[in-house]
Amino acid sequence: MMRAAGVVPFALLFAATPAQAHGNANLGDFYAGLFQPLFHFEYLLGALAIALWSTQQAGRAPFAICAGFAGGVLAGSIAALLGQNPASAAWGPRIAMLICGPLVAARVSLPIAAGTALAVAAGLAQGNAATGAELSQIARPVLWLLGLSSGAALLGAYANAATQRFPTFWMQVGVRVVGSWITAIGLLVSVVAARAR
Amino acid sequence: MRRGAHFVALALFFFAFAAQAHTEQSTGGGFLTGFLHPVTGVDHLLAMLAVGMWGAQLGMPAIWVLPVAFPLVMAIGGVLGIAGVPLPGAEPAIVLSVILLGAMIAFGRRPPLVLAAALVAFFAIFHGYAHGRELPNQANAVDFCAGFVLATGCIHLTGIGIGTVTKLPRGAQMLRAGGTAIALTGCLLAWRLAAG
Repeated sequence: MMRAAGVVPFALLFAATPAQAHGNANLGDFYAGLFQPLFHFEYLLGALAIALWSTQQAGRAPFAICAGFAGGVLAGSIAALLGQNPASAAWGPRIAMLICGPLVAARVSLPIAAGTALAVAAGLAQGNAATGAELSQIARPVLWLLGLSSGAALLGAYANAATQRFPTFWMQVGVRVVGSWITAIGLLVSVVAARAR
Repeated sequence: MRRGAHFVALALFFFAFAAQAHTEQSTGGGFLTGFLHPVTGVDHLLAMLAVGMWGAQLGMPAIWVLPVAFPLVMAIGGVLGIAGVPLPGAEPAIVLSVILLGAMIAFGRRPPLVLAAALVAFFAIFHGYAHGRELPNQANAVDFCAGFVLATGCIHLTGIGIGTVTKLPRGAQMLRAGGTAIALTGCLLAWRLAAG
């Protein structure tokens, strides 16, 4: 009996079929916004730099930075939906990588007002660029806005939860190492983008 | 019974099917190409491993300063490569990095942190330059950059992991033997480079 029970899960491995779990609930734009950074490394790394930097701050600054970034994403996206989408906004994620990556790598703390202002500015640029790039694909703008800003907030929340759950020396080192990777990628991507113009 | 279960589990690795759940929408061959660039080049791979191993051998704070410094300086080399700035002797310098970093581990050299970081940073420029020269031809530059930087970091972490053998009995000797193997492989690469 036990042996049969062990064989069944193995047998199921060979019967994989396409995922059936997601019916069409007309929430496509919510998920498109939520997962937008996962399919665009620039956006993911820009948001990750902000999220990781927030984990290195003390007191209420992590919350203020994450909320500021999510709010900035929301505001930037609304601006893009209203037609305010300058081409220079595409540099938002790269600038976020180039500014916040070194801050993470060097573990720099800023006053809470300055940190929040930086996060809001990065969010504005990132939200505006992301929405501007996908404008023709967005059928339900409200769902898109909810998804995109939720994704930004969730990334910050998860980053803070992970670093507080494992407040070890090596976690702090790992965050700084990732900051140096983000800086390196940001520098390279910026040069490639500048050459392509 | 336990041995049988292990055998079945191992055997299953050889019967992997294509994943069915994910439709094909790529973040790119660019990422994979970039990720594989340092991994499949033996000179890059050994030098990156050596950076991690040497950091572990030097201990705190070099164990994390070197892997943080390397990608930053490597990116500067990458920028030179992308911009097409001529950097003579890049290939020999990369091979030299394998020999020198391997030798540092083999001989257990412990220079001051600034000197160790400067040495690693110097070679990082040439490694980054080689990656950068490959980049303009790639379909997706962002993914390619992310791929090779992440791969470089992962190899560093692997090197640090290998370096933790120093905690085992005779681990320091094992690590130095690893450094010797890297340096000798570097000599072989230099010989092949010289032979054309």
